[in-house]
Amino acid sequence: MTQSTPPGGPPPSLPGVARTGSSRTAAGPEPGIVAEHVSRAFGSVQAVHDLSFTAPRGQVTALVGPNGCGKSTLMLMLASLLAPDAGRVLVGGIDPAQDSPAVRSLVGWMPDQFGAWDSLRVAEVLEVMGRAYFMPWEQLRPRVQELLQLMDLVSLAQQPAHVLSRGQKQRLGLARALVHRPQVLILDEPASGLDPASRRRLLTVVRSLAADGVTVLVSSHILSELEEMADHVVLMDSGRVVDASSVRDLARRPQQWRVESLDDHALGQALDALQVRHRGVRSARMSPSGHAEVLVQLPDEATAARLLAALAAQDAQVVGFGPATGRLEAAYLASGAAQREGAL
Amino acid sequence: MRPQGLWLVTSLELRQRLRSKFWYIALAVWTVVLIGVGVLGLLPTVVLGGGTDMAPIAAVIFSLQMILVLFAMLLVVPALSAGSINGDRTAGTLATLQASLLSPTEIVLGKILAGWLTGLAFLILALPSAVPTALLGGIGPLYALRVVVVIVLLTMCVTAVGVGLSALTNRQLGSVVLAYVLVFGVTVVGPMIWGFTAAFLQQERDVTVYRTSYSESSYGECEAREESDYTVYRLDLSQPLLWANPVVLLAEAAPGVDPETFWYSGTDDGPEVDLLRIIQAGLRSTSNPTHPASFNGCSPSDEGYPEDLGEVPNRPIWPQGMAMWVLAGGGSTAFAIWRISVPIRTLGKGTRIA
Repeated sequence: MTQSTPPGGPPPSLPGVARTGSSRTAAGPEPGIVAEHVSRAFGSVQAVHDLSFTAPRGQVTALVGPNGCGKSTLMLMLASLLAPDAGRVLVGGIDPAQDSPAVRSLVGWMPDQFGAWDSLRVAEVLEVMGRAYFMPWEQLRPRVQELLQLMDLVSLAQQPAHVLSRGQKQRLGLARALVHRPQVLILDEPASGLDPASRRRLLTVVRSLAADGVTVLVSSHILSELEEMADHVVLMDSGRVVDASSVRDLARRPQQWRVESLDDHALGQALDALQVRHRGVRSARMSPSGHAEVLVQLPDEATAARLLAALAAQDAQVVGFGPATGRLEAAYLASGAAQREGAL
Repeated sequence: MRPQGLWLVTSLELRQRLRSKFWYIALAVWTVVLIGVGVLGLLPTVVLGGGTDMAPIAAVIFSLQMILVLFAMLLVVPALSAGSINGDRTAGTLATLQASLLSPTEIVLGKILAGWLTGLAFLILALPSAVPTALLGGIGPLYALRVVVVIVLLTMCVTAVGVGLSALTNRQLGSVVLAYVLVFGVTVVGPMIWGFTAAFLQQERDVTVYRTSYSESSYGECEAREESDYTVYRLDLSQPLLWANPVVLLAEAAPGVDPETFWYSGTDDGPEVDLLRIIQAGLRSTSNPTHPASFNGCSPSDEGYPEDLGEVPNRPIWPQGMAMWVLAGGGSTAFAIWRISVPIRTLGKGTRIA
């Protein structure tokens, strides 16, 4: 279960979300990642402040927050590259401060900026990484071919890595992180620069890894894709966790729904009759969809289903009905993080 | 430390460099230049002297070639090594290695080994021209071996210092400039300051000066004269400025010379005088300016030559100089290993991990 402790008290009480150290599922496996009251400062800048959360094994946890909120710093600590000033992190039950090599053997890390050795070819980059994990050659050779296939890099295998496009480099970066079959995968903005087909491939790969029991922690600015990819979401702001939930539970939260109708008058009358509060119906002439539109705030999906039935009964001529934003985006917008400079 | 890890980093660094055509061109030009030096140096002797008695000039050319190898190493190695850590950090490749199972020791020593091997390429490519001149010049195998060992050790130490500076500064340009300032300082600025110290490291002493007189005899006669307030230049006091000088260390690899007799009769163990022996003799001549024998300007063949002055101590200075380099190289290596160890606790201002 994804858990968090935001500043000034516990996070919002959400169904299915337990709290750190108190209510881990007794029968469940040990979490892949645990962060306990972690803080890290760079000079006067407090990048991460008293942050706690867990990421379960075999599931995908998304880190969401504005630029500079501490996501990458947290990921560096989990990759055993940076030590926390206070608190501790456990990766696969191991503290990097106690046994850094053991943690590094478990973790596959993909940084947000891909650094390639200029003169190495794509396949060589993967070979070098495999050798950096001391993989025997007889295992490494087929693994490189497997990853080239998986990330659609076969045709680029003999190209110098530095000539790749940004999206191709991202794919190579992910392949690089997977070389040694890590149990914990940390992906910092993996979808950045990817074309739609590559994003679908990323989604498939990540879900497949999670299904195989890999703990995946991923940060991204593309919330719609995270929603599809992630099982859990941790919202960060100013180095703290401000909210956390399973993506499924986000559906039970209040959010805005968009109703589209062929007739703005009929829609307005139906809403008034049902005593639904709204900020006014936008006429078909003014809306980009060419339909009359209205946004209504609803507490959950069950209420939305009842409203749709009632609007149909009122002959509101509804042609479109759905969340105005994704569930993840709604949760993000509801948090204070969305109001800050650098927000998504 | 695992040999596979060490060699992985070394081969990675070498592959980065060797795939650049620039290096092949530079190494080819270097080989041609050294062969050219040898040929052009010996050509006048062959043409004018019929190829007889080439040994003196060949010995000088050999010493010149070794000094050129040293300078080439001092030019190339700082550029390679002083950007190896901060350059990788800027390129985003250092963190990738740090996050793997490679240890900081393997990463740092691998980079030093790569820089060292690249620097040694200049020595290896000098052999086709240096070996013939050494043979023609009567350079003994031990002499040649000592020269090679000094160059090899200095290359390793300079590489290690460069890698240490690369770990110290955030910007590649900064560490490369610092490395060149260091090399320029010990190679050029140090001897200049040492020379300038003669202006203020002076003492007025009462000494007995011996000079040869030819006034009454066809043979030289040694005369002693008491002189008060004789100005003695205490360049021995500022000699530590030269200890780390690479050229001085290379000169110390030459067979030991007797500074008292070198300037009159050359060397005892071989017929030839070369640049390295001249530097060594000059340096040791200034090492003991207050010893009574230092004021003896007479030749041993002179009548009345003073036999009771004793011998000026002829101590080598390479142990001090090499110790300084080994300490600097070792300290730089230890610092670089500490600096890239993970997880990082203290991060320098403005330093990015990835």
